Amino acid sequence: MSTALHPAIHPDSVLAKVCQFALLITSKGQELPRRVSLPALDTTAHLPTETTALLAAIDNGNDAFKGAIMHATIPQLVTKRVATAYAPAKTIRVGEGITSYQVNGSERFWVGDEAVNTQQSEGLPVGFTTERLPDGRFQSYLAACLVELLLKAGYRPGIYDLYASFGLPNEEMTLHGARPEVAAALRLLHQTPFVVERADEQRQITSWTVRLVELSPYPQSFGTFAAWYYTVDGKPIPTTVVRHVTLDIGGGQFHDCEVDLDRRPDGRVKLRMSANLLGDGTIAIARAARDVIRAAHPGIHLSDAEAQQVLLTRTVVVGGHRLAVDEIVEEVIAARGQNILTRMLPLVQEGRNFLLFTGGGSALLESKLREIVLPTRTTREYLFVLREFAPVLNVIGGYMLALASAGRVGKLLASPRHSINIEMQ
Amino acid sequence: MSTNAIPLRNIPTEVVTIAEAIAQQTGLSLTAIYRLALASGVLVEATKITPDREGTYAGLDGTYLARALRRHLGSAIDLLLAYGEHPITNVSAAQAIASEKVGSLPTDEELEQGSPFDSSLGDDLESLGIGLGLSQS
Repeated sequence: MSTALHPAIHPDSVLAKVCQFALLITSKGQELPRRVSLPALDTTAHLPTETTALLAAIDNGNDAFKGAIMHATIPQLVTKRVATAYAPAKTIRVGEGITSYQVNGSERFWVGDEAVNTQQSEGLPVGFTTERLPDGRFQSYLAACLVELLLKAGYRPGIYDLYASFGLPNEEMTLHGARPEVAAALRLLHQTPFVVERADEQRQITSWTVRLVELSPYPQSFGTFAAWYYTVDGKPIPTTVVRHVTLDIGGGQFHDCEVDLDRRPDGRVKLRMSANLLGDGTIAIARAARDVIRAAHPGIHLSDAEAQQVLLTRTVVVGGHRLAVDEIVEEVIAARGQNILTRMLPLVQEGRNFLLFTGGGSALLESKLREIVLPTRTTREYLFVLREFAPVLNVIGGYMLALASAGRVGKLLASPRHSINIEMQ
Repeated sequence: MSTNAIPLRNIPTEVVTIAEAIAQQTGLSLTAIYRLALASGVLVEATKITPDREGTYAGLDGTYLARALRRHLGSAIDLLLAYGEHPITNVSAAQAIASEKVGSLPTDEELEQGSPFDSSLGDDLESLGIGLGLSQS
């Protein structure tokens, strides 16, 4: 499938390949690596040995889990988004069931949209990593999401070690890695085997064991820059952009990630990055919509996840009927979205910045964003990531970061070489 | 919904054998399996006929039919991908992949030769202070 590229997207970049649904094959004709061989210790013989892990990327968003992994057999990156929602599973007596999970002997539960659509939907912690990961339900939810990612990518039930990059809110990172308290929270997942029993809609049960043998934290908005700036080979694209600003409007938070590209006399480009939390993401709009809906329908109590879904579906269930609430959503976006626009205005007004808009919220606010961006900029000075990729671009770039990180500590296992003759097509 | 019983005859023996094997493996009744197969099957059959003047398939809008099929065909598509039989858009690439799959699998030595990934990104991450795993920090 061929899609016309925006002039600000280099045709060799990962972003270009993903937007064009192209196979991720390097300039040497090799598939992007799927696995890494890591040094390990044989605990019985106390001898050094090696272990192999699948490469993956996780963007632990407040509104949704986003994951990326190479497909098991074809060289394409598979992404999976699962809304941050958890509900204890009920027994479905008749008809098609709902996919449910049990992790390390936990209660059986539903996640994602299925959990949102039940009246038993429980809120999972929203906020910083230290507030979210200690919750046992959240850990179970995360393990279930990893299984869904593996399944979507064509993997079969089994035991999987994963080497994963892990997207964190930008402000949780320092020049020396994740903040100590954040690293401590991540260790709750590190090397922990999660035994996931998955019962599908036909009640077929499969068993998966997932273990995050390594976690490599990264500032989540930097993932988008990585997808824009690097080729499938991991090389930087040639560009005249010297100041790149990613405006990442997520569900929970709204961040910027400013990267200066400083070209040195020897031709190398030195990167300098700063990233900031600018405020609440679309959750602020969702909660405002929830309040307006509750004022109109006092019996309706929506969780954060349900309120976010109202923004996407523009419907709400009242008295057993699904009602359209387009007008309410539009009014709330007009009123509360202005706050997000105001916070980013200084970055938009700074004419020396190249602006890249991404995150699920950028699609929600795109028409209003265009109103403030287009009058002062030419096409090559900004980029709105396509709607279907905006929510997952951080994790797509995150996969490239996982590759780079894994390549520094282990041996990337190259996938088979392909003799694809592009000119012959 | 029609309540008329529809007699089904002349079902090939191998189809019945497969259905019985599914029943044995899943614990579902044969009736349930045939019901599921019928539900999936009519959607697939709808894709085989020429769209009518309104552009619908057996009265179903293309978008609706595609969404309905997606729920039923997910596992089938996975299987096609796994065995290199999926008619993906990039035919040359698909043929290349399929031809490799029928050949011998690469050895670990072959896999390790020449990592295709450049060190530039890793160097940039190091200069930015990111890219270290928890085990290293």
